[in-house]
Amino acid sequence: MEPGQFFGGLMDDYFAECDEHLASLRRLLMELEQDGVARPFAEERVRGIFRALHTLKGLSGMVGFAESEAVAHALEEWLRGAAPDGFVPPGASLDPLFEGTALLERCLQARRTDAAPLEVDAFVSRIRRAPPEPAGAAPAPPASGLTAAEALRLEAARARGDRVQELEFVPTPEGVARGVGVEAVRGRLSELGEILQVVPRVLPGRGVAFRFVVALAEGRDVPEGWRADGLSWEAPRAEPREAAAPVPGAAASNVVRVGLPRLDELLRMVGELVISRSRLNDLLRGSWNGGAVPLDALEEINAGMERQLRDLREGVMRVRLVAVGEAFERMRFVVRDVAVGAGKDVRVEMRGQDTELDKLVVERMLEPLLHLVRNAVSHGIERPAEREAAGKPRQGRLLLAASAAGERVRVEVADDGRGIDRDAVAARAREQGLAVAEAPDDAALLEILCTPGFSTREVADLASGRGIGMDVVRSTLRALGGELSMSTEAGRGTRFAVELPLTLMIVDALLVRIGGQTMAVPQPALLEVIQVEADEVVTLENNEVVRYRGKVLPLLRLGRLFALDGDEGEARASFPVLVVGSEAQPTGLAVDRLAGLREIVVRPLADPLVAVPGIAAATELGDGRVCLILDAAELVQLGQRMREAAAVSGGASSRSPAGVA
Amino acid sequence: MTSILVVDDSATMRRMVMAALRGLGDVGFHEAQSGLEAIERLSVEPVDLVLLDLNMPDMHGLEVLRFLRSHRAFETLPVVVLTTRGDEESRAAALGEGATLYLTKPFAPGDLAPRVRELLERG
Repeated sequence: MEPGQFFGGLMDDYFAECDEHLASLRRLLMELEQDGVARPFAEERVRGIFRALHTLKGLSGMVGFAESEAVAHALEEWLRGAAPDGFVPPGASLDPLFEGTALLERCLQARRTDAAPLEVDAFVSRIRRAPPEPAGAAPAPPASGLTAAEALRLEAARARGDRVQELEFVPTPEGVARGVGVEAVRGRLSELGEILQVVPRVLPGRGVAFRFVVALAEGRDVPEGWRADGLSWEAPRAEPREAAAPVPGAAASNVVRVGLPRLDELLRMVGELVISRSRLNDLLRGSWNGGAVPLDALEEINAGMERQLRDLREGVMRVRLVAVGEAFERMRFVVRDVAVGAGKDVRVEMRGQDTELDKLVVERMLEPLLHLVRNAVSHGIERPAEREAAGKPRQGRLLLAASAAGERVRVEVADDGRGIDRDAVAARAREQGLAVAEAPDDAALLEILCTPGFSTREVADLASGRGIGMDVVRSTLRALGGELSMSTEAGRGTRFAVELPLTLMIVDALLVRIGGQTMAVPQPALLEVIQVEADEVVTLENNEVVRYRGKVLPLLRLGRLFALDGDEGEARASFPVLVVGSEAQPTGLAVDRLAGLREIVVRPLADPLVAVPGIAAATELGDGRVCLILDAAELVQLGQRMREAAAVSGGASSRSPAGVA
Repeated sequence: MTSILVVDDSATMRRMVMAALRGLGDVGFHEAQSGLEAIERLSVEPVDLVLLDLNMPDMHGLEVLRFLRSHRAFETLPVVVLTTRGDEESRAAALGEGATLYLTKPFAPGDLAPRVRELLERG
């Protein structure tokens, strides 16, 4: 049996873990290249790269992906040759690693999409060195004491005035069972300060103890409460000194992690809901015993639960937030790639990498961001000689910045390149028959650039390439609920800004046409879609019904319900009906036409003035049109009430159905 | 019930190893994602056999092995070192530090279980 088949159930895990290792490879490589290979933390980074390659190789071997295994192996060997003792000599080029990482990514992508495995022999033999030096094959584990990196960290900690504290942790079965294990302790301590060393120590019986050496910044102490968890330490010796800026430590791998406080917060919300339910329970029990149910108390609980559920929903959304930093790191990789190819020298600056955004938004924003960055480097920023002639520093600057404002996050891509040539773009636009103002302002300029089909390669050069695919960039961002803006100044550079929602909900929805409008119905609400012939519709006590699975399906004409003009469906010989509600009590929603399935971003309608019964939210289609999302559950209720009203008034009601709500 | 501790910083690799050992029958698995966690597990839970990866962050597998062999309680505990192809040089080092068995990944899923069964029966 093929190993790949044997581990078939683990392939998703395989790809997910490979993605993580690729992300940390990219990050480490960039850091290494940026900070230089001779800096104190380089050794740790090289080790991190080794480890990521090694794991990629091992995992790929297990699933039988020989080409990924070969590339990872070749890179490992190459690095081993380049950095025999964990230090890359200054001046050494890391290009094979960059190239190989990109190749690995493509190899995995091919496998993921079931495409043919990539051909990698050429790359592997190209980077293979003359016999790899036998000495120092794997980074040898230290026998005892501090490794070089640990010693450097200790030195750095002392230099910035940290207090060095030793602690001992003795694990117990009970502690481990409730999550107080050595890794948890390490996690706690690393939040408190910088862990310089952890070593195990033999205790009698099966016992072990772990000795932690931690550098604590001034004013930081180990909380006394931790003694109860099996931690012990001696009272600190006071030797405070002035603290300096923290040294960047090795960043954690890029997984969606949820901080304990966030989970605690969720738990608290669930606790509140439990309390509300028990109050409800008490009321019900009272009513069983013959007491009347106080309606106002029910109302109060209902209102409370509504608020609690809203809080909970928001809380869960917050769990999905991740820092944009990783997306930015990927951009760094792209910048390097494009800059090398185009003979540019570009420095990437980042701000606000810790700004958090919904994981989905971050993922979806990657493509448009990539586009903006690529354009900025290949067309915005000039070649070094040209920059020098214009009196600018030879090295161009690209800024990636993120900042949060309320429920929105602003992401910016700014370059200090030549800016967009307004007149050239305007002239070209007129040539193509677009109506353009004499001197278009930034907004008008962006409008031109985002006109579908506007750009050509020739214009791309004139317009610093901003035109290419900008319509796609903008529509992708719009579909995410984002808005694109731009400012540009000739000779000074261009800045694109994207405003994105902090969180978003995406659902599959069926788009339907009703009286000339497009509306969306979330797919989970649909039981079925049926085609109904006009002559199948029977009017029963002023309500329209059709036969459906041996029962009667009440029909709601959405065109009439929303009083939309031009209800073409009325006259049609047959029309589609969306069956919604429960299996036991379905309701049919008659629409004019189906317009396809689509993934949509749900944007709640917060303004009470636009709240309409039967409308849950809105979404924006890729072309910028707003589309309302129907609330199927509410429509079913509406239908129910209409029927009841009709029954009460003996079928004489002529009120507008929407007016019933 | 036999208790086996699988030590690897890669969660996927741990699951692959456990999948390959499913055929062993009445076995309970413990997992550790780091050398420190492995040592902790061993001290709080009875374990019959350890499958140990070498290349792990913070504490190298060889360090774990060296520590275990220095601890009277774990002197004779069977430790199977699993490393990735290309690390063959570390074989001598691992055996020198007291590894019971040294296997190279990728292993064919059918190969691992018999070797482990043999060790368990011998112990």
